[in-house]
Amino acid sequence: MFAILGMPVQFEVDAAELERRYFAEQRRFHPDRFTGKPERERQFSMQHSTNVNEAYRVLGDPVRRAEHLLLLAGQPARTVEETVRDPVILMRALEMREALAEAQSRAEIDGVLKAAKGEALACTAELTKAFANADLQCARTLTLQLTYLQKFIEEARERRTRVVGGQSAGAHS
Amino acid sequence: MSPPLQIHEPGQTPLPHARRDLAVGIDLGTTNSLIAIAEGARPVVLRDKAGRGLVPSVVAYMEDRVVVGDEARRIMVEHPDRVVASVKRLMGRGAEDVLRVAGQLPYEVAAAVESGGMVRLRVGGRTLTPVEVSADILRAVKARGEAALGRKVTEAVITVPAHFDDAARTATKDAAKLAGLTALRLVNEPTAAALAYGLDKGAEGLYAVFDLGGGTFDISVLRLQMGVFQVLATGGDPLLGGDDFDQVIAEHFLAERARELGEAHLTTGEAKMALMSARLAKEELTTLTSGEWPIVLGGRTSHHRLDRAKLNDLVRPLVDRAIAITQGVLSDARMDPEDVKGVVLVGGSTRVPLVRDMVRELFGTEPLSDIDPDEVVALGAALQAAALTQGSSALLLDVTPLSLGIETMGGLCEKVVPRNTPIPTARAQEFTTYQDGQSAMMIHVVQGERELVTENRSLARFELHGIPAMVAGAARIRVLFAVDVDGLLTVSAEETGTGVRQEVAVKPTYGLSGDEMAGMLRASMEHAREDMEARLLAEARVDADRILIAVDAALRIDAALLSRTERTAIENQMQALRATAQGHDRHRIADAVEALNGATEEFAGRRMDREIRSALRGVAVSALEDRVGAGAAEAKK
Ligand SMILES: Nc1ncnc2c1ncn2[C@@H]1O[C@H](COP(=O)(O)OP(=O)(O)O)[C@@H](O)[C@H]1O
Ligand SMILES: [Mg+2]
Repeated sequence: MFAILGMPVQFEVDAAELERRYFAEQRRFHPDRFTGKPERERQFSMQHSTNVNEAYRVLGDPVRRAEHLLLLAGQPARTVEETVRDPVILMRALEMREALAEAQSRAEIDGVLKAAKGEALACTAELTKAFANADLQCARTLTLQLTYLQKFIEEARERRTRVVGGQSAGAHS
Repeated sequence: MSPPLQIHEPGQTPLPHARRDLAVGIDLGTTNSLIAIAEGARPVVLRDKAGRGLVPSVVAYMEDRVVVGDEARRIMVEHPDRVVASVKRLMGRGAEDVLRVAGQLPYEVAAAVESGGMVRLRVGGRTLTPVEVSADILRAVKARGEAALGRKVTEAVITVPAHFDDAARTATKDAAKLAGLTALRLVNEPTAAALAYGLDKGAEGLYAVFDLGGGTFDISVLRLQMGVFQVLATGGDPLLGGDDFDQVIAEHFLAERARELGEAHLTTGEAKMALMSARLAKEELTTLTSGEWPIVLGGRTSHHRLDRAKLNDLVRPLVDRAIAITQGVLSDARMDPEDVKGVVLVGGSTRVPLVRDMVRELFGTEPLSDIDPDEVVALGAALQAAALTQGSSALLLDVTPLSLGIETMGGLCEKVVPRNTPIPTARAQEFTTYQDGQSAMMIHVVQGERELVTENRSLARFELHGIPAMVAGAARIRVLFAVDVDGLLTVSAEETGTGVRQEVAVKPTYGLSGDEMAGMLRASMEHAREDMEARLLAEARVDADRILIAVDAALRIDAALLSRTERTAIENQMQALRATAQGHDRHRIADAVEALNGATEEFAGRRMDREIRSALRGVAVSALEDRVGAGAAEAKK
């Protein structure tokens, strides 16, 4: 994944650099650049463009990036079953859920959302440290924590959309 | 001298097909269709002699001919039962889908449809699929392009609503094929609009494209950066557009009329008439603040007053829906309305004042409509067509509009490719058997966001056979989803232990079977034969003209080489050819050309001899052959 975009194999990612390389690769190899070319070249372009998209998706997202690094290190990320056995993560997840359920107005949801975003940022910073120190056990726990935080932020966003949109819920019917 | 060796990096060829004709862009709309081309930097819409660019997507099926566009719309008044409008709403739909929205569609749907097949319409004594009707629209648009360009049009980029599912995309490609067009690419309408907008205005940053047309609603959020058009999220509603505005207004009018005249049931044709009045009222209320519109049915006229405020009340629930979808898409893009730098308005229904007001309110910025909202999609398609056939510095990076998944135990849907995944993409997921010794596995591919399979759209089913006998849960079935740049899906499945493999290009549940497609192609070949006849006749006439001019010229210069009788014989043949060329029989024209050729053979021979003799004078022997060749070519002309 890192090699496809020529990025260094590490948790820290220079977002602007990632973007620059992603665009540069797609500019050269996207299938739109290969219409009317021989079948073999088109196949190659399709394959490579697909890989570039996948690499961008993985490297651009801290959780996926962390999971990928753990996999490379032979220490696959923790599964959901393991979480249920981790009381700290579980407690925090339940607390946040409760806060979101209680939030009624847009402002209240915004407050919950902001807190969660702050936590996610802190968690990402710690992950960077853990990977830099090659502390893989710590990285596994933090990755799981970040997964939960991201899911939660997603949910909170959706909740907020519905509050703003009045009763017209179900945006993707 | 040999040509210099050319070295390109892959994908960097500046002009990959110097001799290839520039492809066109086509906006195949629910209400209106357009064709455009991008020669040079600026794309232009191709128009008819009267300067009209829009071709209403309306088809009239008369006894002896098929009429498309403005004329078909006029025919609708007298023969509503022969006319199909808004057929795009049925693309890729099954009969069941259509029955669900029955009453909202001014068509008669053929009753007997083998279950799972594509819906069929009964119109003007014919039974037609939406693919065939769309192909008729495409033929008309293509003809307009050919008339404007003075050449054949064979390749096109065709736009589709961003949220079109796999079945509707495949149906669109099939329609292009029937119309004799190669669809180089399907491009999402909002993405095309962004391309036209970004290239013309040099826009950079985060933009939203809000496209509310006649039948469909699309909203996309894109990032424009250094010539890359990156779609971050997209969404929409396949059944939300100006047609629905017309529907609520017509219902309001008809309720008034029923109170006044005590009328009950309407025929399909009468409903179409009421919808036309409603549409007129809606469009006029874009500029007027109130007015009165008549409905004439069965010789009885009723009058209906409507003002802007009442119109707003009637359509507000529909606009609310579009706004809610927009918020959902922004949330998918992880953006807030304030992050968006500009909102581009596309589609005729964005002229409705309430729509503009609500878009402005949501984004807190004046929406942009400086490129004609009717044309911007076609212009973008033309730019992409030029990019594909001639190369370009701009690049579109689009996404899947809807999640793709597989049915698992208990009728649940497991997502394999989530919505808004950049394409092309390939994703694999592992499944396993749930019975001991299970040797086959049904793979049911679905599209949509819901948890339950039955609430999503069924795309295809296929079975992986030959799984070796194992205990339940031991087999490893790897299912691979690949989505190409047109947004079309291919699924393959493999038992990874043994390598038993199966691949299907997803043949949509609501698509056309191979046989049906073949039958339609055959029928369109017959049309093509008529077209071909016309072309051959034109060519024969051109041949006739060419030889007449050449012989005439030769006679004027070299009449001295002929006797009086020889000359008369040639002139008689010329006269005969002129007369035949007036007629419509291309074989007779060809014969007359041949006869004139024969009559002038001796004459041409003498002219050539004289050429050679004069050429030989003072010419080196080595150059002789060349000169003879040139002379012969000259004489033949
Ligand atoms: N001035 C107007 N005011 C309100 N609606 C309009 C106006 N002009 C066109 N429309 C509506 O726009 C719709 C057609 O939009 P268009 O973008 O051409 O559709 P499509 O892309 O579906 O073919 C129709 O419902 C039509 O009534
Ligand atoms: Mg449109």
